[in-house]
Amino acid sequence: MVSAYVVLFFILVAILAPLIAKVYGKNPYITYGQDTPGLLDDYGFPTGPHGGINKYFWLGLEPGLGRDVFTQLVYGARTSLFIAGSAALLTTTFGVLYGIVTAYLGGWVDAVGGRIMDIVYAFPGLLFIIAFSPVVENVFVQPDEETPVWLRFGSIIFILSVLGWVYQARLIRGQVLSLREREFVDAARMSGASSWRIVRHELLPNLWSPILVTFSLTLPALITTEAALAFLGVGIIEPIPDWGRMINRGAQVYTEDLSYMIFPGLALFVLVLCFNLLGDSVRDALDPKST
Amino acid sequence: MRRSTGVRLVAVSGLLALAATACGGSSTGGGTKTDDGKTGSGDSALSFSVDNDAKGPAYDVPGHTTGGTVHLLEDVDFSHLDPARIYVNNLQNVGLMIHRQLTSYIEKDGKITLVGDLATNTGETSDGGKTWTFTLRDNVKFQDGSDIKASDIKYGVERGFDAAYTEGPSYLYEWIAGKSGNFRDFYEGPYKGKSLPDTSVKADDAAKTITFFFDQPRPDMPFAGGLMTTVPVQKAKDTKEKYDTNPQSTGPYMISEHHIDKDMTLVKNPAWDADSDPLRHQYVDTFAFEFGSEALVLNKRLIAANGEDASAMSLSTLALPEVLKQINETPEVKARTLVGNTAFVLVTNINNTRITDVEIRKALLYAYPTFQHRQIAGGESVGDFASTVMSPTVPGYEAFDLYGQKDHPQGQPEKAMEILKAKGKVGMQVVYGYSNTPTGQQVAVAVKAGLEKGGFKVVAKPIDRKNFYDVIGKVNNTYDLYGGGWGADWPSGSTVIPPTMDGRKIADGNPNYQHFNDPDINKEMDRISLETDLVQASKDWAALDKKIMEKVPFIPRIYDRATQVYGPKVGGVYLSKVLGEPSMNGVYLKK
Repeated sequence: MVSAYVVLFFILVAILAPLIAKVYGKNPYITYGQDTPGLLDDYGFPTGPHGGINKYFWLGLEPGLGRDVFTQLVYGARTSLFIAGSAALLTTTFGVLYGIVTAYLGGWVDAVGGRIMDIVYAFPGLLFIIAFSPVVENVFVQPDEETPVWLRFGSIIFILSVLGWVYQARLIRGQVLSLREREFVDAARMSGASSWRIVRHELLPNLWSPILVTFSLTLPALITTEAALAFLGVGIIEPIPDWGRMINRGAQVYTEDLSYMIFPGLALFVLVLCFNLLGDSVRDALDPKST
Repeated sequence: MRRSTGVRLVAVSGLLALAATACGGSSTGGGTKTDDGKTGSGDSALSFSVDNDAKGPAYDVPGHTTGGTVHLLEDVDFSHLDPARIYVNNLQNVGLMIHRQLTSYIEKDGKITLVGDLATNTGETSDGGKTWTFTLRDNVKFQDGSDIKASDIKYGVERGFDAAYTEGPSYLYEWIAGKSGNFRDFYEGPYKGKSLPDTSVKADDAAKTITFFFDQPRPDMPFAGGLMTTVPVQKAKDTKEKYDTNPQSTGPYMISEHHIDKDMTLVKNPAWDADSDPLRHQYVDTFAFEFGSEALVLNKRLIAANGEDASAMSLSTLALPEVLKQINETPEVKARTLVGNTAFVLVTNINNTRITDVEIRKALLYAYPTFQHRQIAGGESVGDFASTVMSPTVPGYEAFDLYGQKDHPQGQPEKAMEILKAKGKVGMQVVYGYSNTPTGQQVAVAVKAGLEKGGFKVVAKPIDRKNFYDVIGKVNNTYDLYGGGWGADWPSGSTVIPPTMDGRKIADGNPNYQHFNDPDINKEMDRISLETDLVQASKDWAALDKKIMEKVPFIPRIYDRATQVYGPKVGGVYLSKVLGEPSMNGVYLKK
């Protein structure tokens, strides 16, 4: 139950990020350390203990650029949750539809659909993303314009979805295959119900629990994937705040400024852990028989 | 030549960094003037001299031992080992161990001496520098044991004319061709069957002499002889493009194994005779290079110095901003750290083809946040703020500051704004191209913030680090601002201003990356280049520097300083003033 509150807390923080930043009086884009002498030492590290934590900068300053860590984290939650949430929604929607269609129609549709799933499943996802993102930029972005934020977000969500839906589709296909042979489906079919009606009224109600369970477990997996992409430098780039990139930067400076790695690391850890716990409890509640 | 890595700042491009401020005397024989008038600016002045009697073997490094293996940790493999293609400073560094030139430098106790290398002296001229003759030393050999002949040097020079070898310095080729512009129209290289005429370069194998004939006095020939363009190549062993990864050695070490992008091993060259070489040492048995790790990882390995890393060093992996504090505040590490000024001036190029208005270029210079940029790159350890084309290490350097860059390193956005307002161009868009490294990304954030305060709208575009110079080197590139840097090839403004500012040479890959072209300035360059009074010439270069800066071809940022850590077991390491990085020559293992 605690995990649900924590997840809710993170979601609220993400939604209310601009408000929080306003109350707190800073934003994640201003390079405070560079604009105000004395906040960073000559090497660019925050002066003062624990990465420059004080009453003005609650979680300290970023080494080098001197941006505020707290607002970066708050806005970073937005980036993480928005990308992971959108991708999870897309993969689940598409995966479920795909699974139902192939399994319910059967025959050659199922045969072809199944092979497509195998092919996508066999794709080396991470490699694909690393190779794909520069291509997207070259195709869609003019040489004299910056990569628009929506394109960055869009392409990451798109790729995560394209590579992620197979898992859901397979699961749902399996469920539908066993359901469609059941008596109540036969009965509905005998009584002349349309396929659409059977899917909506007979199959879907029985599929809600596996759908919810996979959704709640896909989300944290996508959060880590997104952070990993940013860590590798192919995800969200400067200046949009991102946890993965913060952790990457933290790993470069941890010998001098451990705090800068700890805060985003901790945030990511807690969020993913709570999502997983939440997913587990959703499964326990909805689908007690599965293990 | 550019620094080999794009890791620090945005990669540095520049030449062999020869830091020497006293005007070196340039010749032996009759004609050219020898002058030791100090024209440099005070504290950075270095003593520089010419020794025409230097003989092998090289001076003993105190406390040296022999034997063992020194490991060299580099983030990238050497792009070229073919002497005709060597220009970048780390290539010259390793090149010095496997190649020998006509002349070279002895560095001892911070003093630099130009000496004959393969040649017995630094060249002789009898007609004021138009004809230069070099006599080869006895007992100089290739690694296969065959004698180095004067015709091998001539063949090495000829190779550089081939259109495939564009990377090397072109001074000598241009002088031989005798006109500014394309020297390849004069001669197309040896692969088409023709040799350079004896009226241009004459090799006499019996007398062991090679003579160069120029149409103008070239007092700098002794220095040009120190570049790798005069390294001998055996015609029979010329494997053309394969020569680039596995050349024949003439120096104290030779390549025993080279796996591209992975590792390379240098072992002692048995054919090398210490008595014939006044500058090179052969202390360790093996130099083992390791390529491909990230620079920060290499930094941390050198600091930790565990196991074999205790006997490791690096040529071009500079200490990154992330570790500078640790280095400076840990006495044990600081004791094995080299810090020194190099001859490089780091700049942000303004694409003059795209931004033709001098006033707008001035506004960019005013708005540029040099301080912020430097802080991200590592603060004061990176170097001092710059305001000129030439570095303080070049003779004649004058410390002028036309735009108050040293007093206002944070930028003067209000002045930029004024200019843009007067021009009605507030909100003008400029494209900033940067090397896509973690540091590069951060710098881009600061540059964007700074320029936008000055009224510009900045589009920051990442460029793949490996291809950075290929991309910005294209004349029709689509960027307005991009980093770079340059250092003198030898102590003269003639190796700074003409290579980087001659508008007639603008071409893909030419170091005039900012495409600066001003007919008056081109003409003045031609005039000073032929000046035989070197002291006057150095003053004229400084005056021209000021004239150039009035037109703001680029934004000078930093007089570069290098910081590098080496393992505690490595002895005899010094930061070479000639190379701008730690030299391999004279390195030994401490017992």
